[in-house]
Amino acid sequence: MATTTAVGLDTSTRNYITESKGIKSWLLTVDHKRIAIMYLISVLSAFLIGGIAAVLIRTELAEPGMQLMTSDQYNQVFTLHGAVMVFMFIIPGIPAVFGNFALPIMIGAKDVAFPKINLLSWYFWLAGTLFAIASLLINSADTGWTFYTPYSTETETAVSTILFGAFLLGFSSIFTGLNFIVTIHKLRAPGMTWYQLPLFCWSLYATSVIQILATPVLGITLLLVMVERFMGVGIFNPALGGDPVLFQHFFWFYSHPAVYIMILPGMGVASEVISIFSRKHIFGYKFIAWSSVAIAILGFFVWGHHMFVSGQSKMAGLVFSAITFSVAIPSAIKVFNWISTMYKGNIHLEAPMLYGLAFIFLFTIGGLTGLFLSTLATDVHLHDTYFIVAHFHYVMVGSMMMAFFAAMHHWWPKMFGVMYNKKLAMWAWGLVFFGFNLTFFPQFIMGAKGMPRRYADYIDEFANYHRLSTAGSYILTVGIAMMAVYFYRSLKNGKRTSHNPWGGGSLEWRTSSPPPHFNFDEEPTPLDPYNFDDLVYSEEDEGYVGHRLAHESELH
Amino acid sequence: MSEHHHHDNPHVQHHFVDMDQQMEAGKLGMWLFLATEVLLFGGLFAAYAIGRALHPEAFEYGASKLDRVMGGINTLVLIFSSFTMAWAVRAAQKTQNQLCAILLAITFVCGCGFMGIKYFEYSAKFEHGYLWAAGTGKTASVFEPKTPYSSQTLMARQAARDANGVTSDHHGPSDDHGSEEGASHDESTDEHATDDSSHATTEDHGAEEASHDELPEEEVVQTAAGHSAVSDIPEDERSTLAPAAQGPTGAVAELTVPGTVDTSKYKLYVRDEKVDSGDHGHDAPPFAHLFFGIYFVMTGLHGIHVFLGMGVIGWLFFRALRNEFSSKYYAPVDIGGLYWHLVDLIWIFLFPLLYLI
Repeated sequence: MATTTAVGLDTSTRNYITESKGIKSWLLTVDHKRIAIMYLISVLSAFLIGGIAAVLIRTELAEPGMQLMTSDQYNQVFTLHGAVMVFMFIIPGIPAVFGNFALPIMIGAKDVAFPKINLLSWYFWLAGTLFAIASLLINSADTGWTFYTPYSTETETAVSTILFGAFLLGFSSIFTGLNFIVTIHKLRAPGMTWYQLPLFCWSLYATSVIQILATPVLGITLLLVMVERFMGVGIFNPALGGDPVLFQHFFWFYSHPAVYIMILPGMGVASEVISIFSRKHIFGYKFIAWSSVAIAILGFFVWGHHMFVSGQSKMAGLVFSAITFSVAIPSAIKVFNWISTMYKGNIHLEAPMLYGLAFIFLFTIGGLTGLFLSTLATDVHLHDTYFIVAHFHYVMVGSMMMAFFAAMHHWWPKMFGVMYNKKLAMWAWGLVFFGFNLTFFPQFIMGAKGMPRRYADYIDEFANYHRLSTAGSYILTVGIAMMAVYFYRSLKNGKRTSHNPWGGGSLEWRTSSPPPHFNFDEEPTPLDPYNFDDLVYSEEDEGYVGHRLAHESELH
Repeated sequence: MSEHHHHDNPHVQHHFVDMDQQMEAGKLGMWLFLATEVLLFGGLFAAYAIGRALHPEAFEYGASKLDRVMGGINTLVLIFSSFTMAWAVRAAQKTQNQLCAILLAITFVCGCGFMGIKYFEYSAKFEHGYLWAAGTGKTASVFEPKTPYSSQTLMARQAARDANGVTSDHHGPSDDHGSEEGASHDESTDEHATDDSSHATTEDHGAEEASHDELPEEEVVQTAAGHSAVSDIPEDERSTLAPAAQGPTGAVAELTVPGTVDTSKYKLYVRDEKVDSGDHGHDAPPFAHLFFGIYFVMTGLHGIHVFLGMGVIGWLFFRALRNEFSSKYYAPVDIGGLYWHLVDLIWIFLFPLLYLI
């Protein structure tokens, strides 16, 4: 249907976007693809709010002394930045948007197992976010996103409101995870084995396990803090016989595994794009698949490394330190396998691949600096400094955000059937990559020199590092703004794409772009998702075709 | 599996191939949801274990104040309701909708019975003031700690002590009621508080317990400010000093400590004699309020789950009345039953932990 002159979103053919019309058809939809689009808009809005807060923080820190805000306001802004980015952007980001969109298609299903619960998950996200924003309007919380007691039970800012918001966001996360696990178990296309699943699905499966097992503990913890604030029960209050360190244990029992909720889907995205854009079968499929599961399991037993200086026993510190080191093993397995996949591959430096490469590079830095912090003695020196800030931003922003952008550039043509401006995409990538490193690399250095985190002001000695960091954050902002422009423009006048512009082998590249309402016009036949041998580029279609699509029946 | 394509079955949703697949998916989903519930309560069980490890005597005391008979009856009621629920599933599988509805109704009534007994238990606890530290808006806890409520105040006292280099002798708790106390316990080694649990006397116990350094609050005020800020205030005006935001029963006095430490915003709880004039809680060990806090949180959250389960059962009841279930379609009863059994199971753990040990 698409002619060479047609541009922008295709409104004439029948697909999931044109299937029905009107705002109600979106708000009440149970189609996983539409819910994914609603999630995309939602988490990007949250990303904008969190991003504005980030720029405010960096601007305040550009020079010593207080310029923009008071120290109390600074506390509120960094709390907002942390809470919004973690609970509303990073955690739902890849699973709820790209997982929702791609996972059912990748396994040849019509939808997730519980479509209504999927929609409910989005409404929980919305409600949770509204509560968090309400907190902002009432009297923005100033506890940091970790809500440590006893401060969080005593501060007069609107902590309960944002706590309840995070509680609802937890439900949203649980429902997404529950849906994915059941979907992967029960709705794979007939004949599809576990080892025929694309690795993105494996990583989402591992993520979902964490979402289901860890999030309820956060839920009860946040409830207890609320109960503490409203009723004064005292479970976390030493004056009443409670234990404030217990809060930290509870909180990190969720929040450390949650770090893997953030990074595992990104690893899945990297596995997809590295293989597709190297035109080479993924190296060590089973190792990548099972290392995701290993990370999910090990991730549950390392939470104490957040509390090396909180007064836990030396024995506990040693054990947590050792297990933390062990997480490096499955992580490294993945990195080596990605690099081996690229070795002698036919590498295409398209935007998704560039973000994929940035992911590997930044994740390696973020991961290796994590080893510094899991070493007990070093951690005592680095604890609560900018070294920590730099470390987790390399993992959460450098890795997860890059993976989110990789996924966005990778699946955008599939979601909307249009291509963005590839040249601008390269430039934006350059700005984002450079800006990110300029923002956060100096933070490693000043952290090691003793710049404490969470401070609104600092001594002159650190001024140059902060100036570099702030300059970097502006470059990063320009890169992301540029991205917003070309994505938006692609919907208006982007070139229509074929069903398989990148030459992917998994099932989502074998249905039209955008996909039809029930994902496939004919029931798909599962094949090795990383076999690209049969796919050839067709100038005429501006995309890959292969006899796999034309003569599927011959192949099995 | 392929021989029965129940697309004619109206209960099969569009994205499932057949009823088997739908049922399996639903069951797996429910089991995963139950896992989240177990972990939700897991946090509370962990809090209970920590609380008990820190204050064993308070938990033993608290358990002795709970009504074992009522708790035991409630346990039997819930176990019986699990039996009728399981039978209702069987009835649905055998397409006996009428029997299923009757059994669901009995299960529902058991749920009501459980909540009714719980209501009486709660009422009794409220009446006696066996509550968490701050009590409720209307009812004071007999365990109201006379100590500063917030850890900020602890810091203020510490600061005051540091500033003045005071080491004060501990003054013994005044035994207003002259009653003989319960068993004296060995000194608690809890690091947060107290070396004073041996004085399980009257209401004063809380004061020493929470103070790190044995300084009774009035003395701190004196040493810090040079005079007693609290005692300067007429008794009847104390309660008007500050909003009792952190607890309804104790009056709050502002402290001002001159010198390097500005503690003007720290609040200090002043004992309100009226609260303690009752005849309850005299024999209470320190931190008994923590037991009741955990008791109300655990049983309260469980009660909410019982309510939700009753909602599900009510919904299944009306569906059974409409003859919706059959040997080909009974998944909702099965899955709803799983939830009810979990609610029952959690109580099976709550009952001995809270009432018996």
